[in-house]
Amino acid sequence: MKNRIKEFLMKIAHYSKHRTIQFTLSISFSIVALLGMTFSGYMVYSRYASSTKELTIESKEQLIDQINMNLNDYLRNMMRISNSMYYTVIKKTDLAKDTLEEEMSLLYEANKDNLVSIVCFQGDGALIAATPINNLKAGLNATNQSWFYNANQEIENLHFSTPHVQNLFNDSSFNYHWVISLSRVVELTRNGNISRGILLVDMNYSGIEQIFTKMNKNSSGYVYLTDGNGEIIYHPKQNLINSSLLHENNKRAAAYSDGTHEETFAGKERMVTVSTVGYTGWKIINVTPTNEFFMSYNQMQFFTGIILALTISLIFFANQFVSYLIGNPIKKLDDSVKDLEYGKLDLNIYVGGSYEIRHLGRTITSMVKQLHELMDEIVIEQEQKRKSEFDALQAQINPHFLYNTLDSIVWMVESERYQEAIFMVTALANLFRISLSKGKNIITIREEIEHAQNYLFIQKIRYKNRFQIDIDIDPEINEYCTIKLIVQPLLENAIYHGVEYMDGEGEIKVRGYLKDNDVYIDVTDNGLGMPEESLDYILTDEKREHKKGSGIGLSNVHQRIQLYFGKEYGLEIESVLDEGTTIHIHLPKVPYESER
Amino acid sequence: MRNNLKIIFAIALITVLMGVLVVSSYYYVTDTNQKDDLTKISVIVYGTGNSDRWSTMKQGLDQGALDFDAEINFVITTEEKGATEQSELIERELANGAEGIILAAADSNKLSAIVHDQASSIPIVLVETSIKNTERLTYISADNYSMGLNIGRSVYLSSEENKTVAVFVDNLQRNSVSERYDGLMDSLQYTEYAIKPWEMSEEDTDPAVFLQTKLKEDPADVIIALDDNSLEVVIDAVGAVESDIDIYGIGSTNKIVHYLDYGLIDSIVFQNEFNMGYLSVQEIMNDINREVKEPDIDIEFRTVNKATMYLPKNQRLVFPIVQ
Repeated sequence: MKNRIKEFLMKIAHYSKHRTIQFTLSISFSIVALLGMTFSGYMVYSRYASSTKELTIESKEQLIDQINMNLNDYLRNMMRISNSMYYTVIKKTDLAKDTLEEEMSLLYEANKDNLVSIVCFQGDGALIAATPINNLKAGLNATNQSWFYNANQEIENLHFSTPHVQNLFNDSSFNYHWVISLSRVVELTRNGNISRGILLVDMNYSGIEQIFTKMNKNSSGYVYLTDGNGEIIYHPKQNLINSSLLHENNKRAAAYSDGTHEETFAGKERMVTVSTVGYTGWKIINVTPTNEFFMSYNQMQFFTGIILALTISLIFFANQFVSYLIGNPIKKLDDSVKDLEYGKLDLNIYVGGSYEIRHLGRTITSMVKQLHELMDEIVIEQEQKRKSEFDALQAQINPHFLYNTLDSIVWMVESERYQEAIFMVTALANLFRISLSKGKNIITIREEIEHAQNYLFIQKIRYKNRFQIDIDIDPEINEYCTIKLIVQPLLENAIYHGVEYMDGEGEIKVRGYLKDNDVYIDVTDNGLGMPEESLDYILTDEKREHKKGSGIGLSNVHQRIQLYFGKEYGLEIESVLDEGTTIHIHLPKVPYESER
Repeated sequence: MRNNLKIIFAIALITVLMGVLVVSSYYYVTDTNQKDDLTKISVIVYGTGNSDRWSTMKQGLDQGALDFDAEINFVITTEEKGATEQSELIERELANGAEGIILAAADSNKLSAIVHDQASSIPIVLVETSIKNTERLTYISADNYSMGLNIGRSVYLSSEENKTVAVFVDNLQRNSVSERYDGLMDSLQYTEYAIKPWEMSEEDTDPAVFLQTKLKEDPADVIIALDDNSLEVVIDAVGAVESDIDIYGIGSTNKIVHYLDYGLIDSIVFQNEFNMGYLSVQEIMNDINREVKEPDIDIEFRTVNKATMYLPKNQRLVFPIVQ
């Protein structure tokens, strides 16, 4: 796990080191845009949410006020019935002479939508009058019922009960009524004597239910009603509560003061608005689950989300585009500079993008141009240096040969061989005519061989044919290039070191041929050969002491070939002591015409 | 080339994004509209066409339908022992596109096969009476054996010793009734009562006539009925022969409650059928929505008599508020 985190951090570090300007720009733009959008989205949404919440609270309070008014009307209506029954009927009736039934029936008929019954009992529970049914259940003891008991407890008040099933009269229709009882103590007059009685107005529970059902249909959340102690009077899901399938926070809510409260019940946050009903102390309680309240704005939330997502993605693409516009020219310029680093020559430095980058591009272009010019100059200088070295080497060759030949001619004149001296001078003239080669350093192999033959001619006279010459040149190579005076020094080497001391048995072979698409000219003698150790330095060691000749020899030829044609060409020497030496001249196959 | 690729990539991304938006909006809108599509649940119960028998459970079903966005089709057989009719009803309701079935089986044995056949393809919840081998099916009822025990106990608590106790044995094809019978018999076995099971034979077609005859010819002090229908038949028969026999029973139709209130019945045991209805809809919806299914659910039952039926905690269940 540790390693993984480490790897991950390393990766991030790696990426952050190698991030491009485009990447940095787009990421930072996007982060800024995202933060900005999120922040403003959150602000707008929270403002919207809080104002809707306020609106909802306001509308809930209005709703509750509406219900409170309706309920108040309803209860006042009941109290009015009770009052008019008491003050206009019971107080004015002497029960010894008259009954209450007629007036009671009239009152009932006028309000029968909301009433189940109006009943008057004596203080001992005996029935005085009842409507619409006055047929009490056998063995019924009204004094045991809570509405009777409560009225007797506080005689000056009107008492509203919680809903209960009316248990007073015989009803063959199996009908049972859920009622709310309004009971009070009344003074009954019988023959002028006053006694205590109980007046009961049983209100139809469905009257209250209707008030709430209508309101519950129109709003999110729900409204319920409790008495002052929190006993539920009405709840839209009363049966579920009765069956313990649902629980309500009624006991706590009834203790709340009027107004809106927030609470958490059964793990859910909800907004509770409470209003107390006048006189009864009942509480109308509206519950709006907070999530439901926000859910009702789901659509709004969803589309806000979509618009936000769309804007963010558009901004993201715009960022990509802008950072591309800015970053790409820099990247291209960087690529050009990289190519420069890797030594690409035919370079075209990118010039584009914004002013600064164009300027940078142009500056680099001119720098590169200067660089190229400098490099060309260096190449030319090097070339000239090489040429002058070559010329110096070449310059050594001519006096070397001239010295040898003149030495021979001197020797001939001394020994009075004038005719031969004349031949020799003529050959020398020929030799020079060719060797001058109109000032050229590069000649054809044919010319070089001709030149070598002239030289051999001179040497043959000088050494009185003490050696045999065999020249075999493949005609195919005649017209290829060579540097002048490379065969002659080898022949000279062969004569002086190879065959000079051999009496008439010396043999020099010159062979020219093509091999592996290169030109070879071999000079072979059957002289003394060279010791193996001298083969190693003979081509390189210039300061070697020359016992004979001009001291300019194989290394000069070797160097000139290499200077002109490259290091892969030059001389190769094979030598076996007492058997002879073969020197291979290795040249590239360059037609003379093209060289010109 | 790389730029082209980038542009194509960007366009593809935008297209995908827009596509996702369009599709999700479409599903969101249809999803919001779908709330109006109600799940069709068929409730098939036994009965004699007397829908009052099931009125409390119906209230629970209706409340459940409201809470869980379901549509209830309530079907009642024309006779108490209508197993064949119920089989046909199950098939008819399935053909009519019911998405779930709540069944109060008229016969625990005869309906076993068809219920097991259909249970693999459609959610079925059993209420009140189960069928044989109910594993995999949710069964919602009070503990019938305990209800039987309790009605026996109330007889024992309010009657003197050495009484003759008749048990009207009917509808034993329903295992709910047979379990109550077992419970009752177990509670009475150590008493001094003379126990007479009154069971109709093949020749007795009318239970009312059978009971009246029995009441006249084979007098008893106490009669116990074990289901709503039997209890109502007992009430009618006792009323007809003007017997002063004590009646005990299991059930809570309006008629039963009325005669309890008026003292004809001494004591009843009844279960909370509102819960039965509500929970059955809940379970069907859980099954349809692939939520965790409850195993068998035991609901509450109570024993009440004339004196206790008006107690606030009892009257809410004895007289459910019609909302």
